[in-house]
Amino acid sequence: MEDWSRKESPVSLGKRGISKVIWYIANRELVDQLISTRFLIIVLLVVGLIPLATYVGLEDYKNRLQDYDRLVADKQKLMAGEAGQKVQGEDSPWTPENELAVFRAIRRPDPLSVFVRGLDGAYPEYWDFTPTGIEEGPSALRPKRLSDLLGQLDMEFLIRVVLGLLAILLAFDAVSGEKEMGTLRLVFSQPISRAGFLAGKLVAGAAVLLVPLAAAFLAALLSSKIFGMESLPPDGSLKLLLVFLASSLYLLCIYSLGLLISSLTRSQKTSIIVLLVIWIVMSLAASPVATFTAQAICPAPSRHIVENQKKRLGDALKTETEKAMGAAYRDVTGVENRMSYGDFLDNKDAVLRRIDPIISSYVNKRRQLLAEVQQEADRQENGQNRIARTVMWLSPATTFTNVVTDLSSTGDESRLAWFAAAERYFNRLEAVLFEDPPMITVRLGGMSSTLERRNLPSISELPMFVPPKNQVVTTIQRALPSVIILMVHIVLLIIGGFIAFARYDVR
Amino acid sequence: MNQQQPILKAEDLSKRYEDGVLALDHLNLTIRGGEAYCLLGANGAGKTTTINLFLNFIPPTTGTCYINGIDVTRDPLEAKKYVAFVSENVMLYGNFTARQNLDFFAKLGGKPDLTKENYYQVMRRVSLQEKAFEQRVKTFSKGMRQKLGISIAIIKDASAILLDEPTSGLDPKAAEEFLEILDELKKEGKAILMSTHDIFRAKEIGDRVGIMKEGRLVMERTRQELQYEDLVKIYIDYMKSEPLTV
Repeated sequence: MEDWSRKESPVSLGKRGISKVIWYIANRELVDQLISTRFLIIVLLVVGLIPLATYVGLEDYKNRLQDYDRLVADKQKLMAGEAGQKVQGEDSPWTPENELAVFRAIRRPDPLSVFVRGLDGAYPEYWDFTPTGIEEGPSALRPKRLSDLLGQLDMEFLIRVVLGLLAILLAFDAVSGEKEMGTLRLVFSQPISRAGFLAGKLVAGAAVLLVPLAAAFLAALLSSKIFGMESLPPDGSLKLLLVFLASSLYLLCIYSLGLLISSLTRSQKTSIIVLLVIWIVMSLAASPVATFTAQAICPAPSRHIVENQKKRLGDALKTETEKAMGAAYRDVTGVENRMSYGDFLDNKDAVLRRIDPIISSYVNKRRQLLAEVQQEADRQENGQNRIARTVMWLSPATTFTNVVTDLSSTGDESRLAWFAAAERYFNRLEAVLFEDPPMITVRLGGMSSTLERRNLPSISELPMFVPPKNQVVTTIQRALPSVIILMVHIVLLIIGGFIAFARYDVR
Repeated sequence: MNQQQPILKAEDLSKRYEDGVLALDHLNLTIRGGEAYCLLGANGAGKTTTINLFLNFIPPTTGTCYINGIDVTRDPLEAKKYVAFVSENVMLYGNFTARQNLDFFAKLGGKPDLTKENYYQVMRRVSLQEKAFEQRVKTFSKGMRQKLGISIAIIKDASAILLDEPTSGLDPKAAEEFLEILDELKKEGKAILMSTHDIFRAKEIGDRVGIMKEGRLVMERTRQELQYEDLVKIYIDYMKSEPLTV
């Protein structure tokens, strides 16, 4: 009988950890990728386009900043005049200027929009507050030609699309290419695990992709300085660093997707075709699909329509109330065919005693009526937002857009925060001014008169608009759900890749 | 008689693929150190499947294969420390030089501390031209790649070497040089399992020659036996015989 006991190897191979194998694979892959033509072309493309994107973003930001400065100057002028000293609480048609503009909440463009434009230009430039609700100002984004809409080139776009494409080009042949080339057989005739091999590929891909990403950020910062951009506040720099980290996560995610598909296919050709189809769907089609799905499942009127509806209802109620007050005025003064301020002053206490319950009733009715409209609109809009965001989360590319725009305060969450801040301000103004109006208008027959019910407050006695918080912690909180989703994508894709490769036929 | 330890061993080894094809049918084979075993057979006879099973590229349906006493299926990473592999068409990383490829595979094979001179020595041993040492492999001919492939096997210094039709497509001179290297490795005590279509070279290098047909090892002859028998005739007779599965 043969002695089939284990024989010592003629060479001591030593104990190796998986980390060494990962390092050997990663090191080779890293060098191979860094000297590849596709890598050089894409890096040159990104670094070349970044100054252009920064210039376009900066010019757009400067224009919007000019608009902002003009609006602020107008408001300050208004506040310094009659409208700021004696706030009437309603916009009388014969007032020479829109006195309610003293409450105007003006939004300053975010300097980070130079790099991540997001919705910054699409937000309303300001919000006005009237007794019947909030009126949105126009958006700063006023496209004059089709190219203005289609040509939004910023760093987020370049990372999402161009560097995303690079991640795909680096990963598509990572496994299937080696199989087709024949190196996989030789590699796996060595004592290395499949997990170590794939982990090495993953580490190398992540490291290689950091190079163009860092170059893009440096080029963007340098270009912004050259083109005369103001220094970013410390918060802004920190947010930009977070955008960099989020971009790294995104590229890792796309690279992991590439590894997964490469581990599921036997040829490079199939791998690149499948990946390009997925990439087009997730980076170009996901957003319109999200919007379409949200609108189809949960149709919601625009804010403008809701505000108009509220204004119509409020105005009808107001006219009715003014008539009721006119009747009360007539009953107290006994005058039917004329309206004079003298009559009102002679009977002020009696008139106000009759009028105050009418105002209370009006305020209650208005609050109830407008709240119903607003609640329904909010329910529909929130539902639509939830659906749109959920669909966007299905794609790593749109999830990435959510993350970086939220981190740069130019995304959906920031937009909602501004609307919420406007809503809060309106509620505060309603409590101290609109529901206790200093001026009232009464209608009698075809006549109407505006009467001073109480002393007119100055703007300094009224609450000021508080913009939404924009600190790093707040932006992180806003971006966190999307960051978690992005990480879930990464984990699932990496696990999927390892499972697929564990079953891969390396012959 | 060769008293060396068995290095490669197949016990009742079978492989049936998902499509139902029985590629290997109860193979029993033992190859000792210092012995070269050549597997002859037509395409699809089971030669490459045998090598794939030894490399754990595919799991066996039944049976076990051992390298240096280690069950390949149970502990593939440990088993692969003792085996080197040269394929029919050695494919390497084209953007890397011969020395860089050698360095990479040496490290994967468990030799992290070799010097440039170590690599040069091995490449000189397989008669690769000096100017090719630092040349990118994508410019290499098939013969040069095969030489580099055997260099990778040599530098690993494994007890067993598996070769899958390594001389196929080589010119006669290159094939002869290749076999000379194999002969040296055999003399160093390596166990060699080579699949080939080349009956003459099988007879030349093989201490034993086996003929496979439809997954079965249908004939085995030693070098001594082949001194008195015509291997070509035996091979052709087996190929012409009735299919085994009928």
